[in-house]
Amino acid sequence: MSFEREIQRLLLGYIVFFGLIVLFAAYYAIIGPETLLEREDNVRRLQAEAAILRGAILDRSGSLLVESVEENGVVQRRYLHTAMNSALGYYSLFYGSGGAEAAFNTLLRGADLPQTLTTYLTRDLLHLPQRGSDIRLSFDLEVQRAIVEAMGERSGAVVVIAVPTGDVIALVSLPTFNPNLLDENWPELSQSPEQPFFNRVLQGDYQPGNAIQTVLAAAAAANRADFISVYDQASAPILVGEVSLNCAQRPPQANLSLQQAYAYSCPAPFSAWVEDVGLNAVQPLLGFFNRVPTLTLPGYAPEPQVNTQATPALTSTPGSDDAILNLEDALGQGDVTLTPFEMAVFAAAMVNDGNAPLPGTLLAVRPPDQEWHDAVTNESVIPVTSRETSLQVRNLMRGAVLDGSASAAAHDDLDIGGHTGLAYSGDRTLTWFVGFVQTGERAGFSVTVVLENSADVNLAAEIGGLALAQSVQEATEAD
Amino acid sequence: MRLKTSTVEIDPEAQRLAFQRAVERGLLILSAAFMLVNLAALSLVRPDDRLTYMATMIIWSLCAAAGYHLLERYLPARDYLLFPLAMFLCGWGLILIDRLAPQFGQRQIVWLVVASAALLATTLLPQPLHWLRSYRYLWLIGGLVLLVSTIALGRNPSQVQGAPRLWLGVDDVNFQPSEALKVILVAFLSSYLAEQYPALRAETLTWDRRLRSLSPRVIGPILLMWGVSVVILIWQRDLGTAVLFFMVFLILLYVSTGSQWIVVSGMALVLIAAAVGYQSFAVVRVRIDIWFNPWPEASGNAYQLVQSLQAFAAGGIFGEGIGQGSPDLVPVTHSDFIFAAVGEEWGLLGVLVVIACILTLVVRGLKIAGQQTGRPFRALLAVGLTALIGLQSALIMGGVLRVLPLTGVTLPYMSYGGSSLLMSFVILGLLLRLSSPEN
Repeated sequence: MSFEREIQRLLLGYIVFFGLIVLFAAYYAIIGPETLLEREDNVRRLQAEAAILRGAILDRSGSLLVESVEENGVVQRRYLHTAMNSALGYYSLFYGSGGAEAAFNTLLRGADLPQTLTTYLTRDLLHLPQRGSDIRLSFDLEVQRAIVEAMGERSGAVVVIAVPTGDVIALVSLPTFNPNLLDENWPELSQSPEQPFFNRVLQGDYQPGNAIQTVLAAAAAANRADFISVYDQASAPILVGEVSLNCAQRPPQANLSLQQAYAYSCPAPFSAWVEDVGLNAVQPLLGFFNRVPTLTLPGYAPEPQVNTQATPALTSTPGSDDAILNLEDALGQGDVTLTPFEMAVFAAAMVNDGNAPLPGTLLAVRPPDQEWHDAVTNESVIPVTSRETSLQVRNLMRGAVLDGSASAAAHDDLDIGGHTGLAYSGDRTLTWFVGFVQTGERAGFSVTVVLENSADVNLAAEIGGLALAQSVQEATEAD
Repeated sequence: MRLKTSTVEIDPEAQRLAFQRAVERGLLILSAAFMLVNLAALSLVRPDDRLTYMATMIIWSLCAAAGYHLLERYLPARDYLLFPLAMFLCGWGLILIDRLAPQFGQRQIVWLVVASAALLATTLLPQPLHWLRSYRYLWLIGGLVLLVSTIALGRNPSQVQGAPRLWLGVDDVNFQPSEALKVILVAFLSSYLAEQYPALRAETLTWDRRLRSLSPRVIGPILLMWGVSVVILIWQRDLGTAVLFFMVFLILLYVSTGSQWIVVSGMALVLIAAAVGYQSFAVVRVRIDIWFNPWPEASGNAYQLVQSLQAFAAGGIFGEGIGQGSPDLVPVTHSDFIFAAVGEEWGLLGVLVVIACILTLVVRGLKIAGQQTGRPFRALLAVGLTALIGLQSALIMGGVLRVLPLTGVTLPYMSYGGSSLLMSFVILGLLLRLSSPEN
């Protein structure tokens, strides 16, 4: 007598159960990579990310700004110059990336590199850490350093753009953060009322106040306005809504021409001129900022939120000037807000004979174990105004530096033009400086400075002038 | 001219044995090659541990060679797949322990030597089956005394606060009595049921009489001894082993009686026990909750299980390669969760190989049981020993893959654990002995 029947049934039971185990294993092995591994709490994903040897970041002259260092199997990202913090942003396993680290994340991680036999062998087979490309950016460490030092503890934004290339030479947003200590300080930083992660250059939609006079001056020049005739009581404050707008600097006399009013940043003559010619005369120049709604550095800061409710039918009424623009907007204290970056591009357009260069920051890329190759740049420009108009605006700006509220920007032997302005946002006073230095025909640098909670136009002009002078010096030394 | 022809008589039995020996040798050589390739690959990733890997390779090879030659000499007609498959799984386990917990690698290799000696002792000693059968109460009481003593003297080598203290030991040497008790209990049950077998299996018995044959007088002693064991294990929170005991008991009872009602009522008892355990014991509640849905507790109670599932996902079909994955993210992966490490570093292919090996062990074990015509003790013993290997593997493989709730048992031959390895080799020795007609 044997147990043949029972043993056969037992065997069948084992086979069925082991088959079930096989099915489960196959499910997790085949379906799992697309489901389980994509989970936020997948530590392996974090480990793989942590093992990536991100590429280094260098400035335009080749100075090392950021590097990845491997210690005991853990890759550390090291930011070598505090002056570059607001431009370079941060990279964190836990909190993602911002600034240049975010804008060029794909390159720095090496995610764009084609799958070759070498990458297959090193990454897929041997699981060696993924290596990213090194990148050289348009920032200049020395210019950035000079600006940060000049800004001191103040809050605000400074941006310098090269003409005609559109290279962003400096991008300073203060206060900022230390990316080397980001993980440790994140809770405090993210809750800080000073908003250190807010990129004031790119995201700071400031009231332009008197700074909009450069746009109005371009509009006036385009409309062949009379810049010589004198306006009575031109230095008197004007009331825009509940805000009283004053000259950025008290002029020597009360009656001023449009040219003199621009030099001292007095709003009354511009208000009178706009009322005289109508808002339609200003619309084309201010429309430049609307025509290029994404006038920013892609990836550096969150993209503008698109309000799908705000259809053109709701936001504009063709044929009615008031619906598009009113006097408050035209005088920089209405609903029109501008970022320092947009103003710097506008100033760059004035240097470039009325054509705004497309700004960018990527100069060259060096994939792992390869040579540097230049980044593909977009050399097209955005037409803003005519050559003649831009020339006239430049002369107005030169006049403001020579004898006006922007005189603190002056540097010997440099062809600097500029304009200061005061703006009011809530209970805050903002000081603007928009300027340029011309180093050749359609060549030079533009700058915008915004100081928060400050009415010191001389300081803004001084910082702007310093940034321009330093940019010229570094460019000369590089040549 | 007449050609002179001669015929050579070929003994088919000798031919079959020669073929089986060739297969056995071939499998051992393949296992050695597998170990060599993987340890070489591992030494590329961790060059500092090369000496350890060499020692592992050499000692495993010596155990395999010595085992083969001694078995060849004393059990020439043994089953030809059991030993190489067990050595293959054991070698794979050694690789994984060296890779995942190098500090335990040397200890495990020492246990392999001890286990190999135990295997050979089991196969070479005269009449071990007779000893197991004749002194079954003595063995069982001895095993229970050791198990009870863990309540007072037990320790946990991991020294984790609150972990079950299931080991007895001196200095660094620890032994888990429940591992030995598994074999003792199977021998006891097999022996007892073999004695009651004629009454339980009489062809003329009707169902009601057959059920009556399971009277307390007949089944009482067995239930008592089994119950004491299970209660102690539950007391010691060794739920995995308790479940294993129950399932083996059920299988032996089913095979000896041939009654499907035993299986049905046994499974019903399992469900009732699970329901009661869910209400009464936090540990059972947690295990069942995370089995149903581990994801809300992915960073808490279900961390180990979720990491295990992600290990299988990370391994995919072909695996990450040895030393290339992150199976060490799974807590105690070198012990209970070693199957997850296989899934991550050798992928689905590795998993299939392990399952195929264990299933083959089970098939061979049941085949040995089937060959014991007219010898119910030997048949039931083979079934029980096979069940220990098969069920324990199914419990832990199913647990780490979320087929079943998790039970903390080792994967036979592969997981880290000296007691487990030792008793797995004793089981192997007994099965080899049972497979050999001359015994």
